[in-house]
Amino acid sequence: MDCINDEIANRQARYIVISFQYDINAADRKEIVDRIKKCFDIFVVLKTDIPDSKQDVEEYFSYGVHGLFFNIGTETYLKEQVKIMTFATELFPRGWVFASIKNNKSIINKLLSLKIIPVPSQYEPKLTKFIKSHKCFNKIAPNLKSVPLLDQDHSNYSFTDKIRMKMILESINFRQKLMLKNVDESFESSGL
Amino acid sequence: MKNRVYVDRRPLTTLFLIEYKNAILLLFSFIFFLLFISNENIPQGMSIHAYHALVIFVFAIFLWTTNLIPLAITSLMVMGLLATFKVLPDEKIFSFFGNKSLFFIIGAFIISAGISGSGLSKRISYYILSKFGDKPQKLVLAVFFLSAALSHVMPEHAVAAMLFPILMSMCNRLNLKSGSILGKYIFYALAWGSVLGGVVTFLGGARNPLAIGILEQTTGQSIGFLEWMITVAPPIYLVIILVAIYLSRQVRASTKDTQILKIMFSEGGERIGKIHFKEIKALLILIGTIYMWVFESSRFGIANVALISAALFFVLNVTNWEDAKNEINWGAILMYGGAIALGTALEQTGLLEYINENYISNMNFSTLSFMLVVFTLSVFLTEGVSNAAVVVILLPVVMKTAISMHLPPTLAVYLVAVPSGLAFMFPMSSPPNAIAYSSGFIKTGETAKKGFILCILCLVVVMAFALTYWRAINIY
Repeated sequence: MDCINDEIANRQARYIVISFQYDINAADRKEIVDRIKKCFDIFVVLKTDIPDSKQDVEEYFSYGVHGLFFNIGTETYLKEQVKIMTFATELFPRGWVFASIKNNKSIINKLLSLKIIPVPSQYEPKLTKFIKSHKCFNKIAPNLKSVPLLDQDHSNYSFTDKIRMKMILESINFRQKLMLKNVDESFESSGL
Repeated sequence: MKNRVYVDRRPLTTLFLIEYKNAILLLFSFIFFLLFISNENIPQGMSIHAYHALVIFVFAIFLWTTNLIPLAITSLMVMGLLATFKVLPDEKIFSFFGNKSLFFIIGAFIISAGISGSGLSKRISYYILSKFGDKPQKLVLAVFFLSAALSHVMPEHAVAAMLFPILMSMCNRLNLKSGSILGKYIFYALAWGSVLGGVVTFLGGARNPLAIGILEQTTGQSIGFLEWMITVAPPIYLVIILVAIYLSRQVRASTKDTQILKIMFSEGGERIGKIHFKEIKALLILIGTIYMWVFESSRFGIANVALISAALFFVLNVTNWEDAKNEINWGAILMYGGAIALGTALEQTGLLEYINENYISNMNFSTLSFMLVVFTLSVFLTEGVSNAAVVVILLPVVMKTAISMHLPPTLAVYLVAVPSGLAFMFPMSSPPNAIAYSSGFIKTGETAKKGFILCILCLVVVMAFALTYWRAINIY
């Protein structure tokens, strides 16, 4: 929590990218995300490999993270991987699924058409500008002053920007609350 | 999912409506309430107080039937609204908590705590089951008659809750699986026995004293403990016999060897140990209380007897306050106070007179059709609504209609209160059903079908008695 606090103080960060070691179980992962969300008004993006199944994407969603960042650092994506990433865009809010890319414009075009925001593995202003000026980008980009993972500059937030960000954050949290159902609660709510 | 969470991918609007349906309904109900209560176009011939009472009554019915907020809170809100809109004077509204029926109910809860806390009810249960449980048929009948008998002196939900763990361990010992016929009918016997037995006296369910409370408050008349039993017991006992025959036939096919239960019951009996002095004291108080209710209630009043009896459980150190206060359903007490206030408000503002003159008197009911309509309405309404709520919703209007038809208001009490306790169809219809359902042996669809047939059986039997026996004993 201290690291997150420092990050927010030093870089005016509005989002945090987290990843989990394999030995941390699902309940602990959920608890960690819950604690971050309770302590900070900040978007939480989970960095992960592209999983093998859609169930894994659902599990990531159940942790309560706001977005997914598929970081595999390859030049191409396999057909199955594209399917999984497309499924993630259906589950997560628009503009909150990211995928790492190298300097490859055709991949950028493809990802943007799939509603996935490409993130260059190394910051390149020209490439970022290309992505942000892409016709598909405006349709999917989160309505924030700086796009998480893509923009380096997080400063100069006005009061209205902060209010807008808070509203987007709470609406994503609310969306998650509606979509995530506990199996036991669901059974009880059936009146049985 | 590993963490027992799943993602619901239906449209967000649907999810929102599902999640917040109660809040949305509540919001709209409040908006409609405010619109109607502030409406100045009052029907001709109706006083402003009667109109306010009507709007509050409809609002309360909506909340009681939908259960959007706890029943007791609806009642408290009703009292607040009646006072705010000056339907009745404040002091009068709050004085309804001093109604003797409420104190009878408090006394009955404490008596129940004393009986179960002393271990008497458990000992009786083990004794009966060990004596008669050596064959599947006899076992189911023993459960049925035991729960029916205990519900005469204890609230039906307390009987079901007490017998449930014993029956579950019995089913485990017999290694019964969820599809087992024997397991299924053991729990039907528990639910149906508790429900049927609970109708016969004032102690099986608090709705009967509540109905008497409304009767006393609005007409000054009353019904005694013995009088109630004489009227209600014969038809219900006939239903009990018919259900017992049905249960016996259904279980006849079961070849399960229940001899091994004898060991379990004797172990259970040994665990309870030799009869304690507490149990003897509880039994003596109970016998004395029943005697007083049956033979001396006109002299001492049933509420007074209940309170003195409740006190005796403490004086003779049979129960303690911790057990007693856990047994008292304070929610029911709060609900009934508001319900009696509302019932009285409907009467005293002239609303019931208005409804009767303008609507009901034009219907030209015969006595038979009146009884049939009221009984049917009550018996099916109670399947979806709390049985006490059924009494509150129907009784004031039905009583007024009965009076206008030159029938005694006491008949209205029987016609509403008796069926309001006969809830068999759904797990949520009554606590014994829910408890039996939680065993996993009975299924909702089958319970609804059997429950519907039972409701019809009760309707036919009680109507037959109402037309003959009730007339013979001068109920009307």
